[in-house]
Amino acid sequence: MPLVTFAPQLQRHVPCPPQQVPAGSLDAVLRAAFLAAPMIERYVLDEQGAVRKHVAVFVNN
Amino acid sequence: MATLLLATRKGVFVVDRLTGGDWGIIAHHFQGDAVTRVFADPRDGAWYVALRHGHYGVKLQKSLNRGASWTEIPAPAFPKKPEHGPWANDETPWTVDLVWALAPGASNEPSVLWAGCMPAAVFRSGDSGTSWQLCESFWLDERRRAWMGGGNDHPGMHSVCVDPRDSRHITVAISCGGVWTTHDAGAKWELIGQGLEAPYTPPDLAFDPNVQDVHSISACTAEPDVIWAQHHCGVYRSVDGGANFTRLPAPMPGDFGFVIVADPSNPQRAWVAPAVSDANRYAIDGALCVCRTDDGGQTWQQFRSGLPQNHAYHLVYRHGLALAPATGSERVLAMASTTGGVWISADAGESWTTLDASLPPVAAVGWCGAG
Repeated sequence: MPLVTFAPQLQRHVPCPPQQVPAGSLDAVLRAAFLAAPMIERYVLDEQGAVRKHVAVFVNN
Repeated sequence: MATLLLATRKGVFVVDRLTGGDWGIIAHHFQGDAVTRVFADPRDGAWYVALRHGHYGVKLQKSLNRGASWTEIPAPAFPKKPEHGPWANDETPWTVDLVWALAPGASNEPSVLWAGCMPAAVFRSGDSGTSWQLCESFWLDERRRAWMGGGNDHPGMHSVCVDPRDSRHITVAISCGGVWTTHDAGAKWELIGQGLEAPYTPPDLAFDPNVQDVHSISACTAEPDVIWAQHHCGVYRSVDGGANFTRLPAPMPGDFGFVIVADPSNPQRAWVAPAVSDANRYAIDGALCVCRTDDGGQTWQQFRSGLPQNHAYHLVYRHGLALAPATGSERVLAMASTTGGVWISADAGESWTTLDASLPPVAAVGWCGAG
């Protein structure tokens, strides 16, 4: 199962500990991770559902 | 005793009278975060802070106890951009980049708030910020395709004036998109602002109300039909609610600037903070001043006492000068600059006391009444 961790700088605004979520597309993995901390969604995605311009998502790192 | 809130590039500073009577900073919230606007609701005392995180977008925070604790509330947000139809190819992003204006509804609508944003749009909250609704008729007006961002990537709405006589009458201003008004709480909007001139545009557009770069507007509370405008190309005044503007004689030393503040009870009085026009944007001759008119803009006095006069390259932004809640004839003003200077005047702008000269860049100042 993928392990999703959010950068410490982001957790300064919204606490969200590392968590394992079901495998899937990047969108599905992120949305599963948002369930634990719904407030974090608007920090990572804009209102159009796109990853924010200055947010990077690293996969398999 | 009023309290001053400073919205800076590195958080909100709270300024109050200290023991002995001097002004001083008593609290610092959201340290390190960019704050674009502060607003203290005079109806219920709530404080609102608009944040603009470089990575994480626009956020709103609210405090019901004068900053002792804060709660994040939803920020205005656009609906999904349509994939088909006339707006599918809209070049303006459907993403709020900046909350630039926060204003209370009229006294008979204690839970209503208005927000002006960049890209230029207006949102209404009917529940004290718990949720926001986009005024779609304004956002979907084809005329906005002609707007420009000026010095920004996109046009933005910086001024929202609610008519104290009629809560459904709202007047807003956009850089660069002119002055607009609604008489039905946002269902329909009318482009007003005849008389404003943008001489840098092609001649056939110079007086087009839809292209005007109005830097800020401010209405007189006692006579809301009197609206002052600091335009990119001069200072204007309207006596008919913004339908028509008359350009005023230039304040000395110049009529470029961003902020204009109307006196709430005297429709003949307003303040501006002139700057070098228009690419350089700093205090004229490196000497900061405030100008005030007491005769409807026919003449202006300039005041420099207490303000830096030597190599002072301050710029006062649209929301960088504000009048404290007025008590009788007393007029207390606060002014702050992009280079972190903050000054307070207790005599209607005629002399100033330095509060601080090295704060972060200040985007906006706001006053709140006694707690």
